[in-house]
Amino acid sequence: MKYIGKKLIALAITLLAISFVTFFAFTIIPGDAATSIMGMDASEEQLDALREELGLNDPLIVRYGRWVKGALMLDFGTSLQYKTDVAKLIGGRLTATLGLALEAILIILILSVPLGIISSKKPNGAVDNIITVLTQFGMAVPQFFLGIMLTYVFGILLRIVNMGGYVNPAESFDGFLRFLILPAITVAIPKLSMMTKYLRDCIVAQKKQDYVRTARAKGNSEGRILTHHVLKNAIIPSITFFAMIVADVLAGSIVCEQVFAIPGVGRLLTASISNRDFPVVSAIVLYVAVVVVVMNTLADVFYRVVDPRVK
Amino acid sequence: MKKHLLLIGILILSVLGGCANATDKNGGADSNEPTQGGSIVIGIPQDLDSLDPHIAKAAGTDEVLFNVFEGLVKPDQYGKVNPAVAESYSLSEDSMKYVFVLRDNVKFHNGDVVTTEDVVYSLRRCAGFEDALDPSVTVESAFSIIKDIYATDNKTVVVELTAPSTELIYYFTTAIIPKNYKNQATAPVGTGPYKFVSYTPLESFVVEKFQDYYGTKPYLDKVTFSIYANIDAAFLELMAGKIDLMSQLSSDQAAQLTSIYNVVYSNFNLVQALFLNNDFEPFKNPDVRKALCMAINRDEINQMISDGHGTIIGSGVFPGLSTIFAGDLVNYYKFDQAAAKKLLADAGYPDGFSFTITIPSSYDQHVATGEVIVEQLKKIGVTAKIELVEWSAWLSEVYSGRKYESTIIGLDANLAPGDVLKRYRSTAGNNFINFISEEFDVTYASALASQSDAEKAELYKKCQNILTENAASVYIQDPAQITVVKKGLGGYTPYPVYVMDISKLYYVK
Repeated sequence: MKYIGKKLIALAITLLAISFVTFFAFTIIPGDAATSIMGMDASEEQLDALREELGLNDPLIVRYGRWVKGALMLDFGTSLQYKTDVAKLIGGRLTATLGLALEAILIILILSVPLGIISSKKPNGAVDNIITVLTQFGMAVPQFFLGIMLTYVFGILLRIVNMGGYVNPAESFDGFLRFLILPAITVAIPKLSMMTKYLRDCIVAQKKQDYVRTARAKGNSEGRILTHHVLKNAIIPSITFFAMIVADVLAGSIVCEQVFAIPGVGRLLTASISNRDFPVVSAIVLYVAVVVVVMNTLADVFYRVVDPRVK
Repeated sequence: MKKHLLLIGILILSVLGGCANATDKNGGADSNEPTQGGSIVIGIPQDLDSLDPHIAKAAGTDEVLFNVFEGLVKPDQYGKVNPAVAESYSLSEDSMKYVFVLRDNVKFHNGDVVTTEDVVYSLRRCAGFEDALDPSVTVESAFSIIKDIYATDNKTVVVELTAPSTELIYYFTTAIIPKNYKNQATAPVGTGPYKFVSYTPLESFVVEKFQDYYGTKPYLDKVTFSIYANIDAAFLELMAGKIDLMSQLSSDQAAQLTSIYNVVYSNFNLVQALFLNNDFEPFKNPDVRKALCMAINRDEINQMISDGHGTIIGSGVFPGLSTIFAGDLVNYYKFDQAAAKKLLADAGYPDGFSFTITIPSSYDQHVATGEVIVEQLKKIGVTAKIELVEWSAWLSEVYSGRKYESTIIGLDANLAPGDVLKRYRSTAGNNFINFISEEFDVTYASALASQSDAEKAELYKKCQNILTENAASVYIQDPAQITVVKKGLGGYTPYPVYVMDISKLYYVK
C-alpha cells in the first residue's frame, strides 16, 4: 500500500514537471494559436482580439494554473483549432491507436518468445546467426521505409492485403482489424527484433550460470532445464524491457500513423503542434507520460510477484 | 521520357478538356455521356481549419466549402462571377450602390428559404458590423468601404459604399448563411449543391447531393473528402486506386499513376516568387534585386519542379487574371549570369554576399524551388542558405513580423482585379516585402477608382510594370496544378481560383 502511495506521488510530480515543460516550450517557439487560426490576412487588432478571447494574453503562470486546475478535475479544455472538447477529440482517436497497439503487442509476444528460445539453443550456430542477422535488419530499417515496402509488396504487388482507407470499428470491426495488420507488423518488427535479441542474450547468459551445470549434473533434460530453471530467471529482466516496449507502442506511433494515414493519437499530436493547439498537445503529452509511468510501475509490481527476493 | 509525358499530357488534355482555357462545356467528353449517381473519394492534403465559411481562412478549406456554400454571386471556370443566391444585381451610375434582387425559393440545407434577413446578416458579419462578434470571423478588408447594408423589401438587398468601387462585386462570393443558426462550426448549413453530412478532424469531410438545389443538380450522390497529412501519405492509396481524384501531385508522382488515372495539368493561380525583404541591407539596393532577377533561370525551375507545365511570370499577377495580366513583362529580365555579376559588382558586391531563404517546410514545391535557386545563385558568387520553418512560425516571423531576409511562397488572390496587387501599397498591412513606391500607390489608387474597364486594366498593368522595373522581388511562375482523375470519371473542371467544383463530376457511361 505504502509502495503504491509512493508511486502515485512520483507519478504526480512527473506529470506536473512534464506539463510545465510542455507549456513553457510552447511560449518559446514562434507563432501561436491565434496566428495559426487567423492565417495570412489577419490584422494586428484581429489577432489581439482573438488572443484575448482564447486567454493567450494572460501571463504564463496564470494560464498554467488555469490549465492545472482544469486537468485536476479531468477537464482538459477545448481544442483551439477544432472547437471541440479535448477529451472527446483524443478519445475518438484512441480507438485506432489502441487497436494498432494491441495487434502489435500480440505479434511481438507470439513471435519474440519462440524466436528468442530457438536462437539461444545453439549460440552462434546457423539458426542463431540467421535470426541475429534478421533482428539486426529489423532494428536498423527506418519505420517509414518498412511501412512503405510492406504496403507495396503485400498491398500493391501481391494484393494479399486489401489496401484502402482506415475502417471505423463501429462500421466493421473485422475490417478494422484487417486494416491494422500491416501497420501493426510495421510497428512490431523493430520491437520484435529488440525483444528477440534481448531474450536470447538473457537465456544465453543464464545458461552459463553454475546452477545450470548443477541441474545438468543431476540428470535434467535440456528441455526441463530451460522451462524450469533458465526461462524463469531470463524472463525477469525481459519483463522490464517488454514493459518499455508496450509503453512505447501504446503512446502511439507518429511515423506509422503518417505512413498508413491512421487517424490515431500520433497524427493528432503532430497536427496539433503545428496548429499551436496547446490544450490538445498537453493532454496527449500527459496521456503518454501516464502510460509510460503506469507500465513501469506494473513491471515493478510484476517483478515482485515473480521474484519475491526483489524488494 | 519528358516528350512521352508531354504527349500523354496533351492527349489527356484533349480528351478531358480539363485545361483552364478549354471552351467545351462538358469538359470536352462528348462521347462519354454522364450518368447520375455514384459516390467518390477525393484526397486532400490538409485538414480543414474551420467549417464556418466566415471563419475558415485556408485556401484548402475554401476549395472544399465551395460546394456547400454560395454567395450572392458565384465564380465560374472562366474567372467571371455569375448570380447565385441573387437572381440579378445592378451597380449605380456613380458606383456607390449595389442592388441585389434575391432568387425566389433558394433553400438552405435545413429546408428554410433564404430571406433578405439572412443575406443582410451574412454580409454584415463579414463586414464586421455585427455586435458581439466572434473575433475569429474574418473581416473582409475589401468591405471596409461599405457604409450600410439593408433590405428594402423581401426580395431586395442594398449595399451602400463610402467610395466608388466596381470591383467589390467579386467579394460578394462570400457565403450566405442562415441568421438564426448557431452551429456553423460543427454542422454547417449553406445553399450549395452539396450538403454537409459529417466531419471527423484529420480524417474526412463528407457531403451529399442537396435535392432542393435551385440550380443544375449535381451528378454524384455522395462525395468523401479524405484528409491526408501530405501527398506522400496518400500515395499508396492512390497506387491502390482507393482515391478517385487528388490535386497537388508532383509530376513524378503523377507519372507513376497513369495506368489507372488521367493526369490533368492546369494552373495553380498563385504568384510564386523569391520574395525579397526590401528593407534588408543588400536588397535595399534595387540593382542587387535586379541582379538576382537576371541570375535566376525560371525556365529551369519550371522544368525541375513541374516538368515545364508551370507558367513563367515576370510580375505580381498570375495569368489566370487575364484582363489585367501584363504578359510583356515575362521576359523583362533575361537570364544572363554575366550581366547579373557585373550589376552586382557595380552595386558594390564584387564578391557577392550571403543571405537566408526562409521557407515553410510543409510546401515541398517551394522547398524544391529554393534548392534550385541556391545552386543558380552560386554561379554569380551569391551564397543563399535555406532555412525551413513550420507554417505557424512562418506566419508570425516572416509574414506578420517581417523578420526575414527572403522567402519563397505562392500568393493567391480573389478574382477582383486589384486584389492581387493591393499588398504592394506602401501602407498595406500585408506588404511583407516592405516595397515602397509612391508611384505605385498613386497608380493603384487611380486604377481602383477607375470606372472604365479598359483604363483600369491599363493602370493595373502599369502597377505591374512598376513592380518589375523596381525588381520588387524575383517573380518565378504560376506553378502547375497536377491533378489525377480516376479513369471513368469525367467533368473535372479547373478554375482560375482555388476551388474544387464537385458538382460537375460524373461517372461516364
